[in-house]
Amino acid sequence: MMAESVSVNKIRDVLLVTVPPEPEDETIALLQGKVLQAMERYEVKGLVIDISTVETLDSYFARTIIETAQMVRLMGGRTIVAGMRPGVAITATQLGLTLGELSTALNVDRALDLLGQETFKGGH
Amino acid sequence: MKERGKGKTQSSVRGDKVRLALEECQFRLGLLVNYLPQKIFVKDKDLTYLFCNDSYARDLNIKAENIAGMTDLDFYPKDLAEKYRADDKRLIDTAGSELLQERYTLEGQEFVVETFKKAITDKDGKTICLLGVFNDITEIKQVEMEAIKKNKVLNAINTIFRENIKCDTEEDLARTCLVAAQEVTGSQFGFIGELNSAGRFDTIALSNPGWDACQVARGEATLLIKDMEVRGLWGRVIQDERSLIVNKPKTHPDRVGLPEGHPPLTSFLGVPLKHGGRTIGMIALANKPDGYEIADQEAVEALVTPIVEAMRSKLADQTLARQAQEILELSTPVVQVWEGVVVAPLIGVLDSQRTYRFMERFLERIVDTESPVALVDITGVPTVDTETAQHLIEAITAARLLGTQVVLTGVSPAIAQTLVHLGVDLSDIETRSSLVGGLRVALNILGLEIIRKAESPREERR
Amino acid sequence: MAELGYGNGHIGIANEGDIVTVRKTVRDKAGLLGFNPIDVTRIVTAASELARNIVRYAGSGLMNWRVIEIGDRLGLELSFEDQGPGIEDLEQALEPGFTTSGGLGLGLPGAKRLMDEMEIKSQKGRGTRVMIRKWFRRDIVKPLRVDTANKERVQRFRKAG
Repeated sequence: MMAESVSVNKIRDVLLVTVPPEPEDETIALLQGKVLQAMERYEVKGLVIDISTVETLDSYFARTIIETAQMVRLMGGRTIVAGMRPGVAITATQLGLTLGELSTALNVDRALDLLGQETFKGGH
Repeated sequence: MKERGKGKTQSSVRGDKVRLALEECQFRLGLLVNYLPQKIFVKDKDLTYLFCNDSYARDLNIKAENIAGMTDLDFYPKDLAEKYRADDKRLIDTAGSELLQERYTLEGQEFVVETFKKAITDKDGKTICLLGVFNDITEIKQVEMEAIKKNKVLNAINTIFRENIKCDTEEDLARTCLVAAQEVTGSQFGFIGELNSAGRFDTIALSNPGWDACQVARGEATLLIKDMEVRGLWGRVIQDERSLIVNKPKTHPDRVGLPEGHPPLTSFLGVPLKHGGRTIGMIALANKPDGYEIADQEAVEALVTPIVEAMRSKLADQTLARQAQEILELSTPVVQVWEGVVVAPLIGVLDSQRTYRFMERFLERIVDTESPVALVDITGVPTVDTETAQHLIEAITAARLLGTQVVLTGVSPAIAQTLVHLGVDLSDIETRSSLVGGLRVALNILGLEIIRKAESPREERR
Repeated sequence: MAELGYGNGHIGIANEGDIVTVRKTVRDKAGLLGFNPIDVTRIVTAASELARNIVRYAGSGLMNWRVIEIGDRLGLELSFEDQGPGIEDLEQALEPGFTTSGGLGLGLPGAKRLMDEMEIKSQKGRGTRVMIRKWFRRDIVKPLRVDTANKERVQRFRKAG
């Protein structure tokens, strides 16, 4: 089965990744790779991971996102996970998943707002 | 007649008196023995009758005074007489006694007789004669059987009421009632069912021999036996609203075929279940080995009232529980009090199920209203135990995963104490003692402020 | 307990791609049974975790699924089997956070919390079998959907009496 391709887009000074509904492991791994590449190429404040269409969030996905956020932080950015579905939130809580220091937002707009409020190191 | 007294010695007069007394005594005894309801006889050691009382003689169609000298061979058919004589001889030879209960039929009626026979011996242990006493205990036996049967029914009723307390569902209870009815009547299987609102029949209990023998897979059969058309033998019971016994079902006009693999019906008893005069269902029993009698029908009819009462009370309990649940549901609304703020005032006890429902609704509402802040108010939650606390924390954690900030409000001193003692870690969660306090936090987060309106409109125009 | 005519089936698990197949199939069956969306997510997530465990520890294995019934309750049962190394210490494995593979260590205990019942049989060196069940709570609306193919069979029995 071919991995669904995931694209990383730059919106203003933020990276936006939209995750497809039932992402395969390959897709998630690919996501991490692309994010890091983009972080290298552009000067961005951070990353917004849009999971508003994701229906299942298992431990592998969670771990990869946390790792990705850690990597993004090391490269000077902040990560926000946006649009988590209620069902996913409940399941994740019961599974014992915490996103640790990762911030979350109700939707992409809010996430962008949140990142916009941060003082950009490069000076704006 | 010689005159008494004159010409007689003193001793002979005494002798006469004694003889008279003896005769008198014998006479009285004779009367007693004669008129006793028991049948009494005495046989010589060579098995000839010496004596018997009227009761015994009547049975043999002779007069008591004529029995002396006769034997059993004169009264009974040869092999029966030989049997009696053999029994008697045994007792005479062994100088023994026996007491037994025997059933026999006379003129189409069944009797139960208690027989007592004893070899009477002299002071050397040698048998002189054989004493026999028969006691007709037919009535006593009948009363005994009635009592046992009534006891069985009473036990069944007791079981039904006791199980009503233990059983969780109407189905469980119905199954217990069915088993009780089967035991009382000696049936192999049966079912209990009720009429549903559409006037069709729902089976709510079906006993096992019926199941395992039937080749219908259990799951399908459950679908199978609800909503049945009222017909067949059992349908007759409902339509006529009367009990029905059919001991030869194959030939009954109302019989219907049974599903594949179902054991054949050899006898059938159906009794309607009534409540307030209306037939609301029925209990059917089948395959009692020798067929059903009126006594069985009456026994089951005696069980109908407790069965109906127990099932209705169970149903009422279930309905009550469901309604209580629904009321609890209504008491956990999640309300948007301002743009960006939802409040969930919790009332009552939070158990697992309730918390699940609450969580789902809580999170959905947050997403619907896109509220960055949510307040969970527990002013109306009387006690918090570890389970409740865990559930609360789960709900709050899940909401935070969505990206919403949550404030737990209404934490009273008592609850605060409990939570600390329980070792519940709320360090991560913002809490306030009152809803008002929570609202303040919410407004702060949203960057809002409440300002009192200016007193006089003139000042504003300035 | 009996299997209803809603079916049963199995899926071979040998790589990450199969995990997605597991999720899709389980989502499908759970939805058909009438589980509410959040319960569906719970079941799918638990299945995903257990399928992933098979791939991670045993390399390959099997998931059996079937619809189960007790009285008038319906449920979904999933059984994950492999001939892998087995779980040495079950108690430890059920502790959240414990992991022997650098994962998050949440699969087994998480699956237990997400489902209603779980049974684990494991022998070191022989293999593991994890069975999970979730019961459909009828009081949450969705009515039962009857497989029309089976409906005919049901009617034939009704006529017989």
